This record gives sequence, C-alpha cells and structure tokens, in this order.
Amino acid sequence: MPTGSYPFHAFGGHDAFPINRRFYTFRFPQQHPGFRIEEPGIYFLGSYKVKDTGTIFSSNYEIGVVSTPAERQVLEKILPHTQGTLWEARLRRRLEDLK
Amino acid sequence: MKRLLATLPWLALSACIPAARRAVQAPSDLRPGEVLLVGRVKITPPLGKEDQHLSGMAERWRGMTLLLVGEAPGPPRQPLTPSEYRGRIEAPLDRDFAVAVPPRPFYLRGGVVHLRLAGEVSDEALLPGGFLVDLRPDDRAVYIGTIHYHRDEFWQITRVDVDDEYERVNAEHRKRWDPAVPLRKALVSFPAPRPR
Repeated sequence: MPTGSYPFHAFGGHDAFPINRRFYTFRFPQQHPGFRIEEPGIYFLGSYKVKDTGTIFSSNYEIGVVSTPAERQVLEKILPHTQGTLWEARLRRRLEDLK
Repeated sequence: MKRLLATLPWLALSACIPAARRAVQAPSDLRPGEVLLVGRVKITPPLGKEDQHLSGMAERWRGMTLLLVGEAPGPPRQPLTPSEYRGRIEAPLDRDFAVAVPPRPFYLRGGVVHLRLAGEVSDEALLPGGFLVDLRPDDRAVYIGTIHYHRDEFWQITRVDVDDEYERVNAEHRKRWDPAVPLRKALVSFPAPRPR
C-alpha cells in the first residue's frame, strides 16, 4: 500500500448456513480511527471480532479489538507463502523483533 | 466496542424530529421574555462538498451542525433518538447563528454533523459538548463565541477552542438590531463550570 491515511470503510462475508448463503456488508462510521502509513514497513492493524448485540426487531452490531491472533501468530502463518520473495527476510526480521 | 452503522429507517424518523430553536431574522421575531442568542460553530478543516450524503428532508441539514441542548451537560445518548434533537440549535457551519431562547441557563451537550442520511443508513460525526450557556433572567441578547473544533482526517476531534469574535459580531449586531439592546458577551467555556 502507498503511504497515506486509510479509514476503515466496510467489511463483509457470507453466513455459515450451507443453503441460503447471504453476503453481509458492514460499514464503519466515518468518525472512526483509521491508520496512517507514514513510511514503508510491515504494519499490524490488530485482530477484531464482530458481536451481534441486536434483537430480531432491530439489528445492531459492534466491533471490538481482541487479543488473538496476535501479530506473531499472523506473521508465522504468512511466512511460508513468502518463501523466495523479498518479504521473507522482512518478515523474519520482524519476527525476531517480536521475540 | 465500536458501534457499526445502524440501518435505521432514518428518513422516516427525520419526519418526526422535534422542533429546533427558532432562528431569528429580525428584532420583531423575538417574543416577550425571549433572549437572542448569537454564536458560531467552526470545524477545521472545514466540511467538504463530498462529505455529506443527504437526501429528502435531510437536505436541510447540509453544511450545518445541530447543537443538542439540555439542562445537564452530559453527552447525548447513542444511538441518537429523535427526542435528543428537542430544542436543538441549527448552526450553519462557519456562519453566525441567531436563535430565540428562554432566559435561563442551559447546556450545549454536543454537536451532530450528519454525514449520511440516505436510504436506510445513517452516519454522523459527533462533536463534544458540555458547554454552559450562562443566561441571566434580564438578558436580551447574548454572544457565546465561536466554538471551534479541530479534527483529523478520521473525524477525531483533536482540540476545541472558543474564539472571541465579539467586536465583529457586536458591530453587526448594532447595525442589524436595535443598538439600544446591548449584546452581552458570555463566552461558553469548555468544560462547563457549574451554573450559578
């Protein structure tokens, strides 16, 4: 990604029901902290979980930060896919920093 | 936890929003016992043309912040319900507002800038409040200052100032209104002190 400011805009996904699959899209409020990429590097935005706090009459969803997967767990999962690329060394350096 | 956007039938709700404070265009608009309240709300950087997506009745709130008022300084409850808008001051951004209010102290509990009121999705930016508007029973016209919000690119409010533009506003007041009615300067402060 180029350097700059990035607001969170939306995310979505399918429900788990095997027959009547629906795609959900959730929009973030515009008044929401985003993130800034000011110099090249590897950035971890954190892990988030969506919670349904609504009723059958009124939908309401909240999103909050959760502790797992942590940055280290995420990088270890990605690492095998970066073999032979420039990213491999960078990820290994970052993993060393996180030790 | 951060609330995700609600899919409320906001356009239907906007039809039953309670009345705002009456904007005053001429001295004859003031009723006996009412006070002329003059002030301004400014946001830096200012609202861009593409920042608001409003349709239908919500168009009237383009380029405007709605100052929610109350007898206590607490912030409005979220999600906002129509009753929170009762007696609001509709303040065009970076322009003076002049409204008629009763001659007793009240609080500006916060501001609302509607960013999206179209279809079934609503989204708004909330501006912090808690300002005491310290009116006295014998007031006729009061200037409360320019509430100046500074924001970042994510609509996070980074600073709030109350700018004093009394000289300019008073000069305009004397030209537009009866010079015999003095405009008392009573800048709001943030956070609000307790009422006298």
